[in-house]
Amino acid sequence: MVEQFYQPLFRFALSLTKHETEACDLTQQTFYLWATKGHQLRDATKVKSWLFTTLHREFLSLARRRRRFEHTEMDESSPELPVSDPTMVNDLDGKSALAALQQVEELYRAPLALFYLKDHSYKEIAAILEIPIGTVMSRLARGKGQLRKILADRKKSPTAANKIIPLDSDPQRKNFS
Amino acid sequence: MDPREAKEILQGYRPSGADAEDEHFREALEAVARDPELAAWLEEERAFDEGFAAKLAEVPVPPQLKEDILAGEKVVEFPGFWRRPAALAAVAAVLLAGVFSVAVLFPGPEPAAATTAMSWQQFQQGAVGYYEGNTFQLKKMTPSQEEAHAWLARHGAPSGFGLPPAMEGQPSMGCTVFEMDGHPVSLVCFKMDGDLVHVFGLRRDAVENPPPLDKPVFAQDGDWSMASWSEGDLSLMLTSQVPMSRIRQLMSETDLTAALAPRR
Repeated sequence: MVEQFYQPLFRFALSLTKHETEACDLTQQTFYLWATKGHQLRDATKVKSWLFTTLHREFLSLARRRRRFEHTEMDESSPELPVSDPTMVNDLDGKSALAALQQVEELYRAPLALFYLKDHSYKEIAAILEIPIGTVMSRLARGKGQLRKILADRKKSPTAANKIIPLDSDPQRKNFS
Repeated sequence: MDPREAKEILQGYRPSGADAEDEHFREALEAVARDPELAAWLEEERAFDEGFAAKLAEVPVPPQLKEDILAGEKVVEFPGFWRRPAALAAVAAVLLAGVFSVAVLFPGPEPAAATTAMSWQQFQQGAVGYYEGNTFQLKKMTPSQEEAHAWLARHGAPSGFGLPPAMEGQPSMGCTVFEMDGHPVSLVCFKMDGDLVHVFGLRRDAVENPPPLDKPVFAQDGDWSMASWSEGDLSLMLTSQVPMSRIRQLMSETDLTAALAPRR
């Protein structure tokens, strides 16, 4: 099970925390909780959802404690629908794709990360994030809109975009410019 | 359904086509079939989603992470339970609730005089409440009971206590320490035949009515079955979400005066 899920869980954690060490911690903590409490899960088909839900809860718990990631709910009505341009991804690599995803507002980033990282269905995303299906849809739409805009801006100004490489970085400590 | 509505719904449509039979997308996909412009949009959307997902899958994962997970080693410890105001408040609530429920769940003699020390029953409820809370975590992962006790000792927690013969030599999962009523509490966890078994320990004088030295006493709290005893200057609780018969079985061979001799 570790083999099957640790990579997508780590990438999900990385999209949330933006810090490699924190993402490693969250991933390890998730598997630790599985080792201690996973036996309570009776339906083996829900292991994936259980792991991602647990990781997300741990992230929220950590964020609450640190009070660093406070956000206010935004108006989720009438999202700006994205304009598709498949060529935008052609000149990306994994790190720059992740950097773009990490620039999406946190509220929309989690559903978007789940959608892209492990091919979760909208129902699974709703269950993992514990939000209604309609909210998943609107957040995906808005998140994709933001992502397209970030990628489009990056394409216009690649030099500026290349500064955003927070894979294992704390912007307070490191300067990538 | 207009194109805008269809587009919003189809934002959740996976590029793999895994949702093709999902009723939720049926009407939007019908709109796509009727509208070439919408069909072109969906094709581009899926191409983008597929491409972006493939790029994210390239994000490197630290090579040590898998080994660390399997070894159960934590790289960084989160702040201790006892330092978190919310956790303290939660335990306080559990303990307060315990004051009112103890008489019903664990009938016993009334205390001779008012005291600020917690009762053993309050300790039992608080300990289980800690384990069930979101803040619980083993700070030291190790299959070695000796290592677990050494770690507990280094962290000023009760350690060196004996276990029933059925658990001697069993690999532990790990251990941790937390605080209740100002006293450090040890917790060592085991997995035995698929069941998680926990042993909590604290100083005997930390509670007003510690369990006896000469024999274990048993209690049930919801689906938690508990055995309690004292050993030297420590009081201990073995508990698990298993039938009481299983706990009694674990303790059955136990002659507390002999089998639970301290490690020290």
